[in-house]
Amino acid sequence: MISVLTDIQQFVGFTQLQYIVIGVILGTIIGALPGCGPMMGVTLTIPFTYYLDPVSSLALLIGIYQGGSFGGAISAALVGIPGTPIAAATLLDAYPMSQSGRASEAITLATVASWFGGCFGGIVLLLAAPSLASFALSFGPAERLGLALIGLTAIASLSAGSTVKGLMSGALGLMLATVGSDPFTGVNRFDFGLPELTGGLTFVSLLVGLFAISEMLVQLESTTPTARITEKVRFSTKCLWTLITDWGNYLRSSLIGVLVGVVPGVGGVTSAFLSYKISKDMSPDKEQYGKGAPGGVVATEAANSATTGGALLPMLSLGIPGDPIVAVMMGGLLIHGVTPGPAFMLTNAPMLNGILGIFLIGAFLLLPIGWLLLPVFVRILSIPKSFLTTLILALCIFGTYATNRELFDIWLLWIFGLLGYAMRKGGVPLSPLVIGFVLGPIVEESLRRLATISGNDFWGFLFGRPIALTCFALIAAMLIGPALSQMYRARSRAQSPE
Amino acid sequence: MSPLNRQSLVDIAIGLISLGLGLGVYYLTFGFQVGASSGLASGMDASLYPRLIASILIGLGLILLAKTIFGARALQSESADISPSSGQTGSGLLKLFPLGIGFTIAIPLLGYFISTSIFVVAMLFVSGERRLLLIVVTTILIVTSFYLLFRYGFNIVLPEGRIWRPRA
Repeated sequence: MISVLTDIQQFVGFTQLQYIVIGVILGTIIGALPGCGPMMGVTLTIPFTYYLDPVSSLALLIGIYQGGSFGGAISAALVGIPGTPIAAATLLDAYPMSQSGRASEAITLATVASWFGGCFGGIVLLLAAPSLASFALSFGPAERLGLALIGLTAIASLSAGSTVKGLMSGALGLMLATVGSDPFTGVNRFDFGLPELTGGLTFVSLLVGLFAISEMLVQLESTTPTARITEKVRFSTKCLWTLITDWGNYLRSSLIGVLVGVVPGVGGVTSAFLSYKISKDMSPDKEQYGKGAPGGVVATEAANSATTGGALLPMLSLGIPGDPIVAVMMGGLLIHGVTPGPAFMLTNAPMLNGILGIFLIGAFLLLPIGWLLLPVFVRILSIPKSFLTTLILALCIFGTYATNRELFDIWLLWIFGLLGYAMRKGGVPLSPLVIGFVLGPIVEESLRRLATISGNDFWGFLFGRPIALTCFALIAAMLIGPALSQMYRARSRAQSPE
Repeated sequence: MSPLNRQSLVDIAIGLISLGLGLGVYYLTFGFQVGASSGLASGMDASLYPRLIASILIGLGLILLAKTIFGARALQSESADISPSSGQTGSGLLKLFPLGIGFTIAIPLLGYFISTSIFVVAMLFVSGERRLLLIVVTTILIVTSFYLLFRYGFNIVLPEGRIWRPRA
């Protein structure tokens, strides 16, 4: 434990602390804006992390992730529009509370619950990541391939839309990752003679275009007016007592959040709704849920904040991102030449501890930042939509330009913006594409190493390893499961009398 | 046209795109193959992995086409990254894309200050802003703050513009 603290002290200086604070504040602001959320925050920040050291860049990104996960609750409570999809469950009780004149109580509860959930997730991450990484040290290419494909398949089959479309999106991500020079033979692939493509597609252009530009295109079509906040919202210190009076709800919801977060592809929306359902079932005031029950706000916010810690666990210890935001963070680390996973743990254990420390500090800072800046965050909701759209677009364009100082990257940005927009309109999820793009090099490298070392017995070698075999069995279950369930439901419908 | 028919047509289009993309990629891989394909037995050359993914795209395209044509409706769930919009489909594209493309062409010619100022004003206008003072203040704020951030924060020289550059 002392060595962990020494590592944290070594890697987290005043500069990193500044980035955590900036990250949490920016994340909360972006999270509070309807239509934005932590994904948008992390996406817009990635280009600027090129100019920071790996630990500082991760401090900024983690801060934004944590702040963004909480920020959605502010707009959910005040205007009835969740700033982020993960705050959709929070809306169920926070908005009725706000409508009955208890807006301050609703937002304070959300702040306290997010703080508790985040800290809980951070502690679990600190305790579990090194052990999991140590276990994964013996993994070879077969296991790495299995894990990477599990991550990709889970996100493709559990995220939006149909499983087939999710898998298509993931395969497209894997495909796009092959553009550029082949790392094994040096052969140029899909570069169409353009020197700018020899090094591969720019991650920032892909990411910002796919998520931010396409979101702005959708926002420009939306007719939702800018919110007008008239009520004064302040941090209500009496809500801190709920940490004692409702401790079971805080603890249970945080545990659900962490456990759900560890499973690739599930994420904050599921953890929040699951936790809400369990909290409602266990509460003596069941009938108050949905009408402004404080326990409902606590359950959803503690769970979705704890999910952030759970989602980082597979990325830091196994090198497999648990959700799209974490995949983007992993991309941010790869830009700096840092590859998360068991090998990273072995060679850079102090840095890993530093990152874990950053997460815990970020989670801890959410309470004082929320306490002090709550009125500011509320005012952000009144900023004209036209100003925000223009500002975000300018950030997208110049952030992308700043990456390589190449106009070619801006052209790529528009192309991926168009692709993202078409995918949204066609009901094809975007997240698997990003995960596929990030995991693409790992999948290809593992597959080719495996093909080399297995000699003439590729399949025998692949399935002769228990962990790899388990991974592929899980992948098969994830692919066949939805089809079987669909067939069963169709059969039940056909057999029912009506 | 009923919503179901429309969604089915979209799904058929997606299936065809996936099929076409897979076939196109597969064809392109013949261009960069090094030596004879050695297969999985003694390692993979640069083309085998992209071919594998191309085959997956072809397979998924066929599955989606079959599912849609033979009436199996895809399961739709609430989504984080498929956001339904309340406005007219395509209007955002028509508003932003010409501006974005024009801006990208204009930056190297007119330079950062002029092209960004025009872009910001136009962008605010298409976003529905009509208050002149707000447009002017926002434009000055964005153009100046971005210049200061990039020039002095990240030490990046933003494009000066070809037509303003003094001739040697």
